This record gives sequence, structure tokens and C-alpha cells, in this order.
Amino acid sequence: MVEHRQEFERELEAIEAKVIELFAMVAEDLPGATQALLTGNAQVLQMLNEREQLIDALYPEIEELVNREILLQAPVASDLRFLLSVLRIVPELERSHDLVVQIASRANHLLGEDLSPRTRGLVERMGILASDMWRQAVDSWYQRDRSAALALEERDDEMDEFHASLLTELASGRMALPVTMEMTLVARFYERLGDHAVNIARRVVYLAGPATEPPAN
Amino acid sequence: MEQSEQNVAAKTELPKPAAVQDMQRSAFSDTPGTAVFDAKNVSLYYGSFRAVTDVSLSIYEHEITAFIGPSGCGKTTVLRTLNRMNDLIVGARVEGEVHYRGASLYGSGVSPIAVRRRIGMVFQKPNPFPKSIYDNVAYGPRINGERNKGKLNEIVERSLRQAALWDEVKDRLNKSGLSLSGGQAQRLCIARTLAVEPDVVLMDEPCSALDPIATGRIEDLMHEIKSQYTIVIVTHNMQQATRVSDRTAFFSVLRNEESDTRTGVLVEYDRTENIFQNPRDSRTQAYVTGRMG
Repeated sequence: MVEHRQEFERELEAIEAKVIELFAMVAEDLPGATQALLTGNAQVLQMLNEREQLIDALYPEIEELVNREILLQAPVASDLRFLLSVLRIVPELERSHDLVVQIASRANHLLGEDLSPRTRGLVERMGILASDMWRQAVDSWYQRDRSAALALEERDDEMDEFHASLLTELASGRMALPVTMEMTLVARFYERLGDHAVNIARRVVYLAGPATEPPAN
Repeated sequence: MEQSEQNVAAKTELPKPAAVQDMQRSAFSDTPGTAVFDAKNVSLYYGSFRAVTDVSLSIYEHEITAFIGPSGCGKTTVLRTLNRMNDLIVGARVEGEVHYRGASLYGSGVSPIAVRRRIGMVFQKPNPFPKSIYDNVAYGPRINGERNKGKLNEIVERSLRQAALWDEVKDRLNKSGLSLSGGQAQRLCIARTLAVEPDVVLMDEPCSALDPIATGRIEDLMHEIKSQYTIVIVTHNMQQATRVSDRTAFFSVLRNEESDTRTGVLVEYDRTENIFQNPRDSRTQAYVTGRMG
């Protein structure tokens, strides 16, 4: 049998490359944002803002490409699942990067020393966990690994526990009120980043589809 | 099945749909509807050449079932085994079992004529008889012995309405069937098939010679008549399969390198949305996405 539809295949690969680019920006910038917050390094923020502009351009571009392929190629099966999945996860990626920027922006008006040691410790661990979860989400997408959703749901429970612990610490009133208010938001941002990673891994279950059997004959 | 074969042989009659419906419903309670056809391990030979190998599938009442697959995969051949059209080809031979409403279609004593009266067929190229539009539709009922003019008028009008052609031809029923456009001629052929009130309508690429508007009309009419008939359609147009069918069977070609022969096989049979969204076989995936074939 002859293989064809190579042009369509190339378009799909181009879309995948752009999606991976978006993924990479979130996964790479997340550890940097945590670092900026804890060290008060405001330079990172400038870099992140530039990335944000890139994403704001990339996001509509991907949508337009997907719309076009759906319109012109009448995709079915794995092609349709891929294009619909892209449409659904691209907004999650865009929002997640927003959250990363939000975390980093606290470095501007918050100094590392303003934080209680326990708060610092918890934020650090939430940062590491969120980065891990995002790496896993990226891998699950790239490898079409439908098993990642379960693993990430478990890690998200961990994140929820950190979130609760941090809120308890903040409620103890050991830090200045403005700092406490900011940190409440930061806690929420990490928790949301965990949720988005889980959402993406769940989308991968649909994307991967049923296990394809090799030809029986 | 021996028993039902004897019944059939004794009466030379195929079971009527309504008569067996309740029996079937209990026998197939886990299936979505009554199975009209049950094919088990069907192979079809033209002489010593095996055109189709080992096909097993059930076709359900009031559903539209689509057969898709590349050229030479045997989908038309399988369609034609469902109303014994292959009997007309010298050297054609069917192995395996085809049951129609519980009775063996190839049982001794079953007349191919009786089969085709119950299981009508619409062909790829519209083939109206060189007669008037009226006579085209009245042809079958007349052969069946209907002589009553009023009754025939009624059948002709009903059939043309079902085929969505009535409004276009009601003022020129005496014009030749050959004067119609391609799309109209195909709908006339559908009306002619429906006129004998078949149980099943087999359609062999009914739209491949038609433009998109005429195709749309035929698809609409398939949806409209499916509550009364069971339809099996062979189509090369996968979008058509997704638009009209409830179930899709994907056939492919198996090559034997040693003997340099090809034979058709049924690869996957499932609800249409599964075939086109979550195909389980990589060959189906390659075909429906247009990567192979």
C-alpha cells in the first residue's frame, strides 16, 4: 500500500512542535519563578514577561492552524483526537504560564527575608512538586502515555496537602499582613498549576485512544 | 439451524419480519436490535479464486450499515452474497453460513427470486428501464401480480414520495425514465426497489455517479426510510459513511506473496463513531485517516 497525505502529516507535526514549545515554556519557567520568588530576583520576571508575549502570539496561531486542518482535511481517528486535544489543552498551557508569571511577579515586592522559615520551606517544596508534575505532564503528552493521569492525580493530592499546610502557617499570623495576603495567592497559584497538569494528563487518555492492535494476519 | 432450514424448504418461503421479531428479540437481547443478517465464516470463491475470506458479521434491523475499504477488498462481493446476486455469476460459490432472520439464505429450497423480492438492491449506476417513470415503479408490483389500477397508482405515488422524487415527476409520470437526470434516475431506481416493499435495501455505491446535491438528497432519503427498512450501503466515500451509517465494517485486502493472490477480509466492524474516532486495528486507522489504501 502507498503512504499518502504527507502534506497533512507535515501540518500535524508542525502543530505538535508548537504545542511542545508551549509546554516547554511552562515547564522550564516554573522552577525559575519559584527561585525568583524565594531570592527576590526581579530579573527573571522580565524574561518571563517576554516569554508571555511569545505565548500570546503562539496561542492564537496554533488555534488557527487547528481550525484550518479540521476544516480542510476532515480529520478522523487519531488525527481528530489530536486536533481536538490541542484545542482543549492550549488554553490550559496559556493560563498555566500566566500563573508562573504571577508567582514570579511577587519577587518584585516581596523579599525572601519577609517569609517565615516554614513558609519558605513549604513554597520551595510546592515549587519542586509543581515542576515535577509539569515535567510528567509534558512527557505524558509527548509519549501519549495514558497511565500518567493516575500518577498525577496522586501527586496532586500531595500538592493539596502542601496547600492546606501553607494556609495553616499563613493563618498563624507570624508574618506581616501584606506578605500573608500575597502568599495566600501564591499558594493558590501552585495549587492551580497542579490542577492544570492533571487536566492535561487526563486529556492524554483521550488523545492516546484505545490500544491499537497489530494486524491480526 | 437444521430445523429452520427444513421449514424454509417445506414452504419455500423466507420468514416474514414481523413473525420472527419477538423470537429474535429474545435471542439477541444483548444486541442493539434484531439481527436481520447473521453471516458466519463466509468465504466467496470465483472458481478456485477466493475473493473473500472468513467474514462474520451481523446486520441489525432499522440500522444503516456501511461497508468501506479499498478497491478489491470484497465489500461489494459480500453485499451481493446478502441477496444471492452472486448466483448469477458462473463459477461463484459461497462457503459458510448466511442467515436471514434465522433462516439459511442458501438453504435448499430457498428461491433466489424470493430472496431478492425481500432484499432489494440499488446499483452504482442508475439503471432505469426504458419505460415510463410510472412503469418503472409499477414494474415489480405487476410482476408480483398486482393488476388493480388504483392500487398500483397508490404504490407508485407512495414509492416516489419515499424516494423524495414525487414532487419533481408527478406531472410527467408518462415520460421515459431515461429522461431523468442522474440523481433523479437513481431516486427512481430506489423508488422501484421500495415499490415491492422489501425488508432490506442493499445499496452498492448509490451516489458515486452523483453530484453533492443529489448525493445529499439520497442520504436524506436513507435517513427517512430507515425506520421502515434495513439498509446496507457500500461506499467509497468515508464522509458518507460517517454521515449516514450506524455501523461500519472495514474490509481490507490480504496479499499472499507466494501465490500472488489477493483476498478480501473483514478487519473491523463496530459502531460508526468508534471506527472513525477510536479504531482498534492499525489497518483501519491507516485507511480512515487516508494514510493507506
